[in-house]
Amino acid sequence: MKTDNIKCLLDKYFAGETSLGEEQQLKNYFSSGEVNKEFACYTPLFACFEEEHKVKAPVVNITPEAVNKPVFYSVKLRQLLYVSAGIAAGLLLALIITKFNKTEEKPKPLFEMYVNGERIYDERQAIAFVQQELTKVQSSLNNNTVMLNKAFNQVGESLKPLRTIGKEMKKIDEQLKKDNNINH
Amino acid sequence: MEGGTSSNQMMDTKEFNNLIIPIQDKLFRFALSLLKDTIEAEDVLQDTLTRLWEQRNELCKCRSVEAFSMIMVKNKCIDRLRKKNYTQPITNNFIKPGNNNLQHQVEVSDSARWVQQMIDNLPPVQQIVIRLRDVEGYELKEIAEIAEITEGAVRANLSRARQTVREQLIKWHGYENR
Repeated sequence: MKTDNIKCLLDKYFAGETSLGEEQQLKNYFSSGEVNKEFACYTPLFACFEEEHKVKAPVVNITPEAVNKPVFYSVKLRQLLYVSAGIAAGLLLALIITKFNKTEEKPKPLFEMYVNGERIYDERQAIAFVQQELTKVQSSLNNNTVMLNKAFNQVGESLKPLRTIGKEMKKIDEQLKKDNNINH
Repeated sequence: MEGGTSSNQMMDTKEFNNLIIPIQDKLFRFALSLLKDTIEAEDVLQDTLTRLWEQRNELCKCRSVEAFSMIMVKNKCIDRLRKKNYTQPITNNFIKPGNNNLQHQVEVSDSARWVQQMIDNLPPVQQIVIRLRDVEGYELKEIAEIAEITEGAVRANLSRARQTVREQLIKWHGYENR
């Protein structure tokens, strides 16, 4: 083979662009024993590949246990198991959901009221509760009005001196008017 | 790569052997290239063949039994390497000097061993790619399937691996000729 051709093939080879056929040409060339000095440095590379390719596998026998073992169907069996387990789980879930829905579907009460966060369904109980609450409110109002009256009385008492001062002031005012009329 | 048999019936020993024996050497060499240990590689081969036998009916559905088997070997090797945690020193037993003491054979064997060490020092993906291509003669597409990478990545890794080896060979040849 021509040197130029080998050089070209080697360049292609090291760029990873050769075909298997071209690589075989190179292998043949380097194993021919007539390698140009220019390319001698690559001989060990192809020799290495050739040597490695010569390695043979030892005689390996499959163990009698493995040979006698029935065919491995477990993949299919496992798949079947998974599918059936999935269906069973789905059915169970559907059953639970429908059951829960049924328990939640109670008849709606005719009367419903919330008091302090508590739900009361009995109308009488609710009225009694409201009346009780109203009496509490009324009694507290009564207490408050008594206290307010007391407070007003106290305020009235404390305003008495002011009233006398007012009377005195009027008297002084009238006196002053009279004095003015006399002077004129 | 050979395709799987189309038979729907249960595969017998003869059919299984016809399918597996031709690729047995490749499986062993691939295991050896990854594990760098002959005994471990034999164990992996044994495990793989047993597993393939157990799944013999599934093999019929395989697009490529060879790629399927090579991937199985690769995964078993990776499992073993993980278990060992990469603590053991890695020594490759691929090339052994010939029994006859001819000077030339020893020289070739020595230099080939040296190249082998060079390849062993490459990143793992590059090692796999260069060996599957240059030792086993797989197409890039087949290598991509076995190595579980893209064809572009195979091309890039192959080129990088070969370039690295080339640089080291030139350097080494320069020292030799001084």
